Amino acid sequence: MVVASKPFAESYLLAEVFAQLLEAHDYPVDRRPGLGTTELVLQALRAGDIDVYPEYTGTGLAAVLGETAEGGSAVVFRRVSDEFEARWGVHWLPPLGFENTYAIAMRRSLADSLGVRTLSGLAVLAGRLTGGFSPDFIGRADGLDGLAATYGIEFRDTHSLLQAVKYQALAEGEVDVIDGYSTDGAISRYDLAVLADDRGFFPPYDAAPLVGSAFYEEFPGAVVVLARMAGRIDEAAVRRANERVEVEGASIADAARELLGAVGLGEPADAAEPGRARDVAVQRRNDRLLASLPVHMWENRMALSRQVARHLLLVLVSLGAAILVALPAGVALERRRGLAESAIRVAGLLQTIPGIALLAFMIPFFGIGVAPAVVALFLYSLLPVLRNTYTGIIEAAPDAVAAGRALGMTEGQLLRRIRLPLAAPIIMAGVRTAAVINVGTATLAAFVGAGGLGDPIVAGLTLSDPVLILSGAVPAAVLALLVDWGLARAEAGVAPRGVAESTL
Amino acid sequence: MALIEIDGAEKRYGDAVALDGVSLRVGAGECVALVGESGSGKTTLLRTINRLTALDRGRVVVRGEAVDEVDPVALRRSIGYVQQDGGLIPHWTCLANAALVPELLGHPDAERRGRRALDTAGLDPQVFAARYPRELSGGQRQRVAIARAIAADPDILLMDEPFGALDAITRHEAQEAFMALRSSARVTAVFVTHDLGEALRVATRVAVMRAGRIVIEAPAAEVAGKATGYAAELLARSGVSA
Repeated sequence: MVVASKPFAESYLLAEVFAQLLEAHDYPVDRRPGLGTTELVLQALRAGDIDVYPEYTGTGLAAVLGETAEGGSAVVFRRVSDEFEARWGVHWLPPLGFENTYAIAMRRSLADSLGVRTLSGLAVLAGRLTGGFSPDFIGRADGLDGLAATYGIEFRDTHSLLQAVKYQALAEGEVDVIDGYSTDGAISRYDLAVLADDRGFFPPYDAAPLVGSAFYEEFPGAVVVLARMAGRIDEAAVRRANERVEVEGASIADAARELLGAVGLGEPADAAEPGRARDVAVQRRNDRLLASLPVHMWENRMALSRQVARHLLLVLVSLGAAILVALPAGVALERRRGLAESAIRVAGLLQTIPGIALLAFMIPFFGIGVAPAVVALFLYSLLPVLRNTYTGIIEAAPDAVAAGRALGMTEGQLLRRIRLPLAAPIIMAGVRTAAVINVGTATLAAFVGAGGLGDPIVAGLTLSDPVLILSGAVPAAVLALLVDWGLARAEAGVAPRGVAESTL
Repeated sequence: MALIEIDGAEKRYGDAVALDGVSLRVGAGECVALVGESGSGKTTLLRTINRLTALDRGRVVVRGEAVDEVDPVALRRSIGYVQQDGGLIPHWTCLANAALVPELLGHPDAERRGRRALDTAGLDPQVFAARYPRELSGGQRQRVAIARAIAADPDILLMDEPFGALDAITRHEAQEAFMALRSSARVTAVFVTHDLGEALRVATRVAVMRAGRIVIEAPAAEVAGKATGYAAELLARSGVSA
């Protein structure tokens, strides 16, 4: 069974809790943490590509159904339960027992000096303050727009900030107000004042496992195992586990194991030594990156080599398929030059679609995992190969082709013996462009669960761990340089003798 | 029976008339020049002989067979062809270029024929065989193109402005070389030129074309006497006295 999560720390943590609990009952688990966005994960769940992931009732209500809350936790839970089951056959299991609502937070010193305690109070002063919010929050109905509509909160200025840098920006006074999560370890770490939602704008955000229909029907035993968590995990336990990960640098697996132990669902864990763990974490954050990166990469060399292998697989399969399609197509277009322009324009249009959007489009057709990533990368590779093949073929010594034909060379001979050899360096240059683009774009494939070097990058962004980010980004950059260098050599190697340097 | 017979040839490209009912006979051993300005239809007419251009109406018979009833690839391999820019294959050596047609025909001695053709065209095979076209002068390149056209000993040679891209001195040398070649190889030749003077020097018979028709057709020695109107004008322009 496939357990997934969204790309933020608590989602990773809860997914790991689900996974460990299922494994403790001898169910085999495939982990797919850090999948793109709410829409993407939900789509994957509906398609049966994943079986379960942690979600929040308020997100289901506001972000997915586009409704506003009327009533308390129980009402909202019933509403999303009924609606998700009716629309998509997706089941909400009973809530885990804690809420993780949006916490609109300020530096305590600023809140005290302004005397702000509530969102209504904030509305009066917002015109003098700067907000820093996650992109997600800015775009959501239960986010910034809703705050403006309900409270009349209009900031002087608003910045879009990733989770990883938001707290830092607030602490350093770059922004005055942020959206945090109420269970964030960082709220206590940075000593922030959380403003009360005095008009009840935010719906209840009860955490609960969201389960796909096939899993629900076929594995009632596993559903019971997951349902056993209902009401057992309280806010204090989650906040402690979040802190272990975000502040003390504990691994997700360790924090999940400790959490299960603490709430009586697993082996009781030895009391962690917070002092020592904190020291290690602080040490690691303070170490110079250049010093700790090689150590980290060496310690994780097995995982890293798997990621490199997967990355290469994504690039090579998609590029190979693109060559198989675009090379014959480029050759065929030589006879239909009218069509060529439109074909190249369509391929060009594909390339203008942002990577993450193209990946998201693939989910309904190909699910999650390697397939949608390969298809998206394939589409990206088409243009450079198609355009260069076509250009190379039509520019390959047209007078020699005409003379060859007049002397009785067949079209096949003209292609094999004159056009392709002369076009080879130009075609190779297109392959090289496509390959380098692919190595970079393939890091986004982690958002659809395809693995590769994007995995440590996404995990690092989520956990604001620069060493983890670099452990994916540096090999990806090296890979891009190697591919570029290797294919440049190949390009020179296929240049026919007797011809001046190719024109591209 | 003539080696090449063209009867009532008509060809249009959209609204433009390229050939407007042209008939021409070329006997074995002749050298016929098709003369005219650009757009007169002379190149189109030349290209109907080895079926590079298909006619809308009319017929072309080569060696007693209609060209649209034989395999065009075999037909083209049996006819030498030289085009204005040479059209040498840039990544092949001069020898590989010269030996192209014998090689296409599967002659086991293709390379020897290529060398002999280079020699006949006035290029020492020892010096030029391994060179690439871009290492040659314009005149040398055109000689390789001629060598390529005659390497398989065709009985017919078609040339489209073969000397057009050359400077005056090189051009004169190339014309001399071609005439020497033609008399020794007994090849029947049809060539296109816009220069009536060149036609009169090189050809045995001249056909002057205008707007898709042949307006004068006569042995080279008699053209000057027959020229009236347009042909006389062309003649005057090319500096040949009537």
